Amino acid sequence: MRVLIVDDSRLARMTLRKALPASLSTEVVEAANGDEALACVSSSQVDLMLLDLTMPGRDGYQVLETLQEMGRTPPTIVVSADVQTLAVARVMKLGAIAFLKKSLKPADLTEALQRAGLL
Amino acid sequence: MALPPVEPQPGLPRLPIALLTILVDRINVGILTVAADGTVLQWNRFLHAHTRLSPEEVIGGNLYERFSALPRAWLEQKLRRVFLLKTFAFTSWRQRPYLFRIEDHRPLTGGSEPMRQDCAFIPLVHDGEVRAVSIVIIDVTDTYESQTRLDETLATLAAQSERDGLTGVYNRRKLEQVLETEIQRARRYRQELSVLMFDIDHFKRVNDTHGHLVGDEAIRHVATKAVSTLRATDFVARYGGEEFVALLPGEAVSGALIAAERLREAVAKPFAALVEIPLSITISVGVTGLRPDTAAAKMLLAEADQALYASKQAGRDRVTAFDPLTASAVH
Amino acid sequence: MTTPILSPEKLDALQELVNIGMGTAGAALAEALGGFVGLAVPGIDLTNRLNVAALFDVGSWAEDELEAVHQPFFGAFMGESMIVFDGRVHAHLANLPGYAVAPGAELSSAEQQEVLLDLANVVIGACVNGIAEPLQEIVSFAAPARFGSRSEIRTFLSRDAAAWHQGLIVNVDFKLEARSFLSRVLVFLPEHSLQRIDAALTRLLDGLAAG
Repeated sequence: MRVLIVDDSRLARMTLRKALPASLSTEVVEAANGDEALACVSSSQVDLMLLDLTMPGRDGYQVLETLQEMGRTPPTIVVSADVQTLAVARVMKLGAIAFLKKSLKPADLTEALQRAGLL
Repeated sequence: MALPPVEPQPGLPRLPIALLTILVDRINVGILTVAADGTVLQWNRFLHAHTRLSPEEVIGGNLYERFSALPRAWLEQKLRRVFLLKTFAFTSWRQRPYLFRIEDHRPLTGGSEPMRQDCAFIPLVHDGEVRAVSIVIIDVTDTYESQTRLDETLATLAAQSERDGLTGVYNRRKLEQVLETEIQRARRYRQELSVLMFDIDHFKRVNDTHGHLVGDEAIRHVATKAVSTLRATDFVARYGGEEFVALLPGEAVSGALIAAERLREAVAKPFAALVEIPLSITISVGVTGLRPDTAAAKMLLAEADQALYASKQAGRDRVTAFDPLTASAVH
Repeated sequence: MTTPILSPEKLDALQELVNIGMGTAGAALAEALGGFVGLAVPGIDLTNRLNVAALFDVGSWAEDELEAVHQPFFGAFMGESMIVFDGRVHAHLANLPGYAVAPGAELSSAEQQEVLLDLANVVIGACVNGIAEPLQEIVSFAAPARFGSRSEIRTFLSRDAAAWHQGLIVNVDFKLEARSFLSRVLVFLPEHSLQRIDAALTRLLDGLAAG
């Protein structure tokens, strides 16, 4: 399973990588901003995207919008520090399958993946 | 509610829990502990004594039902935030006089005022969750009383003071007193007395463009120039926001016009309002003199004001004398 | 300038921690204040510059009505925090649905001050706890206090900070519903506290890198 982790913070990327269930055999690719994320999705198969919302430049919302327009939205779990209902509704409308709050516990991610049928 | 056991730290001498409990109970501040649903879990002696409600009457019950005078909505929200954010919260007597209304806490020296309280809300965190919140209530009535006395003293001082806080020149109240005295003296010794009234042109614009701090500096600048260009025996006062009055005992209108012009010129020179903010302001001046037919101090001020107004009308940054003959002003 | 105790990589990690702390605080405040609250941390800086005014760079703010609150903290690491709000904060707080005593009523001046202190307490708490908790350290707080007047704030901001302290500046974008105002949080930490944080961050990052 090819997993794309998108977050401008290196600590966050490390935390997400570590939170992936051990049972899942994964190849992990990292993107530090929206542009890198789009480039990755355009050029290769992505089976799961873990996406941060607040990034400088192209933010998470814009990445989702662009992917939706392109019709290339991979299964996406949005991970963000900002957890108010406003953000959640908007993100689900843009095609995300789940919204998880930072800081992420591995159990939360596993549960979300199970509910999405990816595990 | 099952409380988690407290792990003993190996090797360290330990105060027995029984003694810690005595400390919490006997300490000279109020301590109570509540669960997330409002159940009171602990109630110390301070609170027992001051509310006359024993632990048996309070513990196990709901805080809001037991104390209907508590501001329930506000307190629930305050506690909810502590449970959610796992961080301390506080209240101060300065905004909220007390949490629990406690009277007669000083039967000898206290008046009729209830106890003033500072409160701290302390999350008791175990295993990453807030199990309960303790509310610490501190009697700060002494601080409140000191502050009240200080405020009253300051108010009295301000009322008695003669000076304007911002500029250091005399204030309006003092001016009005001195004007009366000077008129009487001028009359008795048959001497001249002139009055200058001046204010900063376009002051609102200065404030709007540069802010109030620069506006304050402009006012100070005018006051400084007034004091330095006028004589030591002249009397300078701040009459209003950006308005000043100067009394020139022994000076006739002709001399006063010269002094006013010197002042106008000195103010008009550019100066540094704040570091790296150069400023250039001007004043308009109205001048009048005491005459045999001057009825009262008020009249002198009204005449100076009229002359000041004429300066404004004529284009500002100038000096105008009141002309009693035409009962209007000329340059 | 002496060598910064925290490397850029550590500062980046710290920013992420503070951001997460702010996210939770924002949600809690939103519930309390009855509207959307956004607390974002666009940047974090470490400095031992002597000029506190330069640190805060409040020159461009609505400086007439600066509001500032300071609050000490102690525990695993200790220091003092200061938060500066631009003047519009009071206008925004004046009629908040969640805080009003009676529905539709405006807040009294004392209530406004209480809300301001509470707001400061929550933001500072989110900042400091945001750092402490993931590092598994425990910090306690003393009561927040307001700087009494504009001139007190100016006086404080214009004096020199002690040379041996290094300070952490956290820029906070504060959004209250459609209104937004600026705030800046300074977390002032003596050297030994910064070193402790540095050590804890090393443990955290090493733990993530392994396995």
